[in-house]
Formats: sequence, structure tokens, C-alpha cells
Amino acid sequence: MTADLTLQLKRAAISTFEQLGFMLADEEVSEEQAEASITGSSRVRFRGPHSGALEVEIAGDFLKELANNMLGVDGDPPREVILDALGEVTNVICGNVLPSLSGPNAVFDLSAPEPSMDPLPPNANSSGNVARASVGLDGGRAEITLRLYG
Amino acid sequence: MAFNVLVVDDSSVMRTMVIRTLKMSGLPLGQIHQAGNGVQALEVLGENWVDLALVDINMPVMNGEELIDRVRDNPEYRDLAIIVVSTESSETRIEKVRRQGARFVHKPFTPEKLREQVVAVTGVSNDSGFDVAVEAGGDFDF
Repeated sequence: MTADLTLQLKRAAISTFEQLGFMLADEEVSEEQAEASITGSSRVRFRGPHSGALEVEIAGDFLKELANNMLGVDGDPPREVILDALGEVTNVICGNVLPSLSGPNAVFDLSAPEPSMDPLPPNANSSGNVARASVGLDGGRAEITLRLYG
Repeated sequence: MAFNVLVVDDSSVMRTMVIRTLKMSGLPLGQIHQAGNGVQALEVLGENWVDLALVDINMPVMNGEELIDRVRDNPEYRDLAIIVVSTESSETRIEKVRRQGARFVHKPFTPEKLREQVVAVTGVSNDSGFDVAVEAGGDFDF
């Protein structure tokens, strides 16, 4: 995979966190952000001219803030709402990156997001063909990985 | 006159975001219905009068493309105003949606982008209430 694809991952992530989550996202990850522990993850699988998965791992304590920002509320959102927000962020990043793989006319089918409060489980289907990007967020970061199968 | 709205998305958070944006758009809202997929949306349409539907594409059970096909095939609500709000980036699919008579807003959307399409499809804006397009009998009969 190319450096261009990594750049597209970063751009899609920044745009999604800023416009959907109303959170300021940094292209670079600071030392403090890099030390944050994983607090959630999500995966969206896709099929089309290429098959694979877009994965997002969140490090840092801002998942509640993300959910609250998306809902326009303050408070302590339930776990299911936090997971829904994280899944939707993953879905949007995935949809915005896929044209970089096969051009603007390619048709992909996306599966429902698989969000979790745990780190991502190992991906048995991965062929090792991977692009990765990280963005800084609040006191943590988001790590975005695009995997191609087969 | 208030507009009855149906928001169809498998994410409850996204449905809430869309509804919040609609409330900011100046559209006089009547009943607001929600559905998590195309099948649930058809059930709502069968039981309620809806003026405007905002529909996601990628959903379980029945996706947005099939939902719009079913809507356009049903004489009861084939003229329903539809805005697709989706992460879909395929020009092929977006063009198909447009041929089905729906407008398209790409996720992530700004409130302004969504409001622009709502105003275009309903003819209602923040400032002026009902616009000339609707009063003159635009594409949709509310």
C-alpha cells in the first residue's frame, strides 16, 4: 500500500472526528497522547473490488466525550451509546477511504460496525497488506488500520 | 404546516444527530419517526403520513437502496421526498440514488450541508418559512 493511502486514512479520520465528533484532531501524536492506553476499538468489514476491514483503536478517556458531542448532551452516556458512536465513526472513516482503493465508481458493501471497549482481537483474515495512520485526540489518540484480505 | 419526518439509520446516535440538525434547520416539524432499517421504515410509512425521509444506505435487514425502490414502487407514498444521508462514496451508487429521485448528503456532514438539502427539498428556510417553490407546486405534494 502507498503513502498516499496512509494520508487518506489520516485525512478521513481527522475530518470524521472533527465534523462528526466535534473534537479537534491533530495530524501528529504527542508523547503524552502516545502513552495513553487502549479504551475501545471498532471494525467495519467491506466487500467489493477489494475485501478487507477498517479498524479503529481508541486510546485515552474521551469516548464519553465523543458520544456526548455527537448527541449534543452532557452527562454519562450508557455503554451502548458509546459503542454506537464509536461504530459510526468507524463506518464513516471506512466509507470515506474506500474510493482511494479502487476509484470513485467502485461499489463496496459495508458490514455493520463491530465496536468494543476492548483492544481489537487478532485479525485472522489479514494478508499483511496494511495501511496505518494515527491522529492525536484530546489526551489520547486514534489508530486507524486498513487491512486487505486475500 | 408542520412536516412529518422519518429518519432511517441503524445507528441511534446518528439518528439523534440528524434530528438535532433538522430542529436547527428551521423546518417546522410535526411528528418525528425513527427506524433502524428499511423494513422498519416501511412499517412506519404504512401506518403514518410522512412528508420527508432521511435515509442511510448501509443498514442490516433492508438497506437504503432497496427501501427507496420499495417506496417508489408503492403508489401510496411513491412521491415521498427523500434525502440519503450516508457515508457512501461510490459515484455509481450516488448516481443511482439520484435517479431514484433522492437527494444526497455525505457523512460526515455539517449542519449547513444537511440544512441546504432540507431547504432544497422542502422549500422551507430559517428566514422565510414557506418558499415560493412549494407554494407554486414544486416536485413534491405535501
